[in-house]
Amino acid sequence: MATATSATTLDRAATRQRPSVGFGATLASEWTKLISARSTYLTIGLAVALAIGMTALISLAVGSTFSEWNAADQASFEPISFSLAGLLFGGILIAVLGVNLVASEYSSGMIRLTLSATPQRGRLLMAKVVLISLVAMVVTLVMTVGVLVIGQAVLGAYDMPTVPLTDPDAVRVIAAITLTAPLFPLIGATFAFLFRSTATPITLVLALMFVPAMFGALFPDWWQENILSLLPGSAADSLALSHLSDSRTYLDPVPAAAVVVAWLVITVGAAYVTLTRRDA
Amino acid sequence: MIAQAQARTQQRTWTFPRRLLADHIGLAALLWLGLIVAVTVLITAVAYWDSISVSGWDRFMSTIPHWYVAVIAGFLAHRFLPAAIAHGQTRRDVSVQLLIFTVVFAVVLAVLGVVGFLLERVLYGAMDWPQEVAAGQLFSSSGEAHLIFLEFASKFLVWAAAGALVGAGFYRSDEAGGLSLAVVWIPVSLAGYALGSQSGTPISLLDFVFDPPSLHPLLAIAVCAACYLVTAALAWRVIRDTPLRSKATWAGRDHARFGHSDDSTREGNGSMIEVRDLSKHYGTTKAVDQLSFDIKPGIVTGFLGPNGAGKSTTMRMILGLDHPTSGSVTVNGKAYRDLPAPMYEIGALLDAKAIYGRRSASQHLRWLAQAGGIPKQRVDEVLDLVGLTSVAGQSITGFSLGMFQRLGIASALLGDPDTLLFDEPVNGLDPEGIVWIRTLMRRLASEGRTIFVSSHLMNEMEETADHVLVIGRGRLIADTSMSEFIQLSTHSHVRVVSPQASDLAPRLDNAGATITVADDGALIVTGIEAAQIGDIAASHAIRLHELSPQRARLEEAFMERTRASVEYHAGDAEAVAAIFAETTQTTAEQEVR
Repeated sequence: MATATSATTLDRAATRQRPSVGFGATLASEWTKLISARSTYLTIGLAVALAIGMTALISLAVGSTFSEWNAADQASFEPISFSLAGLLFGGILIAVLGVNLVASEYSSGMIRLTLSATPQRGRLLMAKVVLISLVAMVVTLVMTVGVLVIGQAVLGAYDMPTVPLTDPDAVRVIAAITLTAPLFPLIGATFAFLFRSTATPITLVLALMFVPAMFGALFPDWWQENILSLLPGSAADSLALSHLSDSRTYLDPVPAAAVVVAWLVITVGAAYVTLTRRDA
Repeated sequence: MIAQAQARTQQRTWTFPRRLLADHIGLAALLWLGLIVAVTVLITAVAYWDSISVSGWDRFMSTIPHWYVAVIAGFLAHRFLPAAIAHGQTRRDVSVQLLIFTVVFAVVLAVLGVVGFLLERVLYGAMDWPQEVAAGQLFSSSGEAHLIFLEFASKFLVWAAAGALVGAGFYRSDEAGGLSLAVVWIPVSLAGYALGSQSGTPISLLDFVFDPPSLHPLLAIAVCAACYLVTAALAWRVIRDTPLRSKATWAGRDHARFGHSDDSTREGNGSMIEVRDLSKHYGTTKAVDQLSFDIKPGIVTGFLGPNGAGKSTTMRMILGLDHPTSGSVTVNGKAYRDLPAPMYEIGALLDAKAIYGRRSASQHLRWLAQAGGIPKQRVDEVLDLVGLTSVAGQSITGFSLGMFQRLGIASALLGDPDTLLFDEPVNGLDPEGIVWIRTLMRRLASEGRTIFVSSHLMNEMEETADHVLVIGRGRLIADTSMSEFIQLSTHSHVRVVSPQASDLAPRLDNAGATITVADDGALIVTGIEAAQIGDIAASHAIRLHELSPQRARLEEAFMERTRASVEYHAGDAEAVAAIFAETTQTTAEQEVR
């Protein structure tokens, strides 16, 4: 006990100078939180493994059955988009990671500790947004390059048409997918701030990711061109994939980028308003 | 009393899954139903508009992503299991709760699937579209409709069960939902591909049965059953290895008293919390009602009141976590949010167990230090201070409540603040932990710090606090020094046990004493001293088996005060009566434990 007492008292003068605590400190703190939790590595590892593994499986299935395809399908075969199919699986987990980085604080009650260390709530929100964006972009870059390499390798082994990574189409795909990668994780994270739970934000963000893709094609052309094209997934795909295949939900790059930014501004704005006004 | 308490615990065990179902599954199911209804209505509307036939969509329900079920079941089980373990009395309880959870979740979703199917039939009927299957056939015992119904129900059950089991098996992992997706999906998909399925992604063993690829259904069932058995084994391992919550923590709470430190060693340093007309209303409930007080520097101030009196709400408002409905609270003259480096000014221990993630104690303190702009070397110092150095690198998932409490105090001390806030710091601790916290609080106060500590346990406060704030139903009942509080509030009495009590009582009455009879037959005498009672008994040759003067304890003082406030606030007598009832209940519960 005696040593412990001297430890507090000796140190009191040293910590007396109060540093200014700013955005950098909050970001560093959020970074430490992220890298010190085992689940982060698990989720990211699973995302990369699922993306690459599923791409390999799908490419195997395509390669082994290609000779049985009809001539029209064979002629319109496009190697890049088939390699990207596995990204969907990794994308689910990255979106779930985005939700969980926020929702876990609410489910455990740790948000109170976080907010008592950083009472400036806008700053906390921005730190989470920056961190989730960076992580999503880095992981998605790895996944995209990984699925392209694996996908092309498998297709190549079946003597099918392939595209090198340095191909301008491939470069555009990698760049656009990486840059739009934060979209769904951030939407999920802001939903988590709004709903303070895990199940609801995951349901909503997965519905937003998949329901238009699954049922959108049933809609009349006008709806697809003017309404569904404004959904985040369609806009992101317009940026990344429109040069590879036609889509009714196509937007030109500038409006598509504007749609993506608008979704982020609206959802982050809503999270900011609720976070700052509500009790923790 | 004990039987009653057991009944209460038993009841809690079984009401728990119900509450969880209401809170979470209800929401997930509603979203799911919303999805079904919205998609059905949209498709039908669009098809009507474009005059296309949708007979190909006759079974669109089966295209709705089943992974949703697995992911949500995984997350819910991940959330559910720790709480189930905390509430369960035996491992069988926990397993049964998990089973109930899984089945109810699956059944709810399957019923919703049928609702969606029936909704489709109604819409198709309205459109005069050909129907592969009519609604009436759904519950018949033959034909494809029967198979569809079976497919719904079994698919949901399998997915929910697999997801829940994985979520339970990995419940210590924070990514249970993602894992349930991966663990359920990957092996089954791999098996499907490896064995030559051409039907896309086979997502459950039932897909093999209802949409058979080149694979024998029995083989498919065996592959999938193996996957699910592994997840079940994982879940069982967790239930087996996780210690159930220990009980009987308060048995030794009336531990040896710790000597109060000398007043002269304290120095006031002007740090202070000021609360002015603070109110917090939730709807019509006034959790905190016009509260005004100052926390004086350099002493331990106890914040006393029964559960639900508004103590925690007040503390959260001090820390800027909750917004007051009206009034203000300042720390060192500023609102908490305006403090440039709050952790240097005030440290708080709210809920020590509210820590997320599988990380070590030092990693936990490191992010907190970074957030507060505190140098990293301080982490090792506070770990040493609370005696956690030897386990600093271990994952906190294995920590006991006492260790969490120490970690919480370490985080409050990170910024070496002048003011410390502890919310129910001894709750659930063993006697050793209680003495440790009590000693620490006294020492921190003797270093000139301001300590504000809440408790619903009167005895505990008596041992620790110099000054006391008593709160009931959100209102301030007393703001006084501890000794004054006890002195002013109660009279001391003498407990007398005698085989000739009926002879003694009238004689004491004659001497001017007031007598009541305790439950065990002892006489509780007020108004005259013990010595006088002894003399009276001796002069009449009355034998005494016990003659003990009782000092008023804080608990009694508190009850006295809340009782007295009936007179002060005549209009609010009910409220005070309710406070009193809560207090007795709390005490009774502790006695049982």
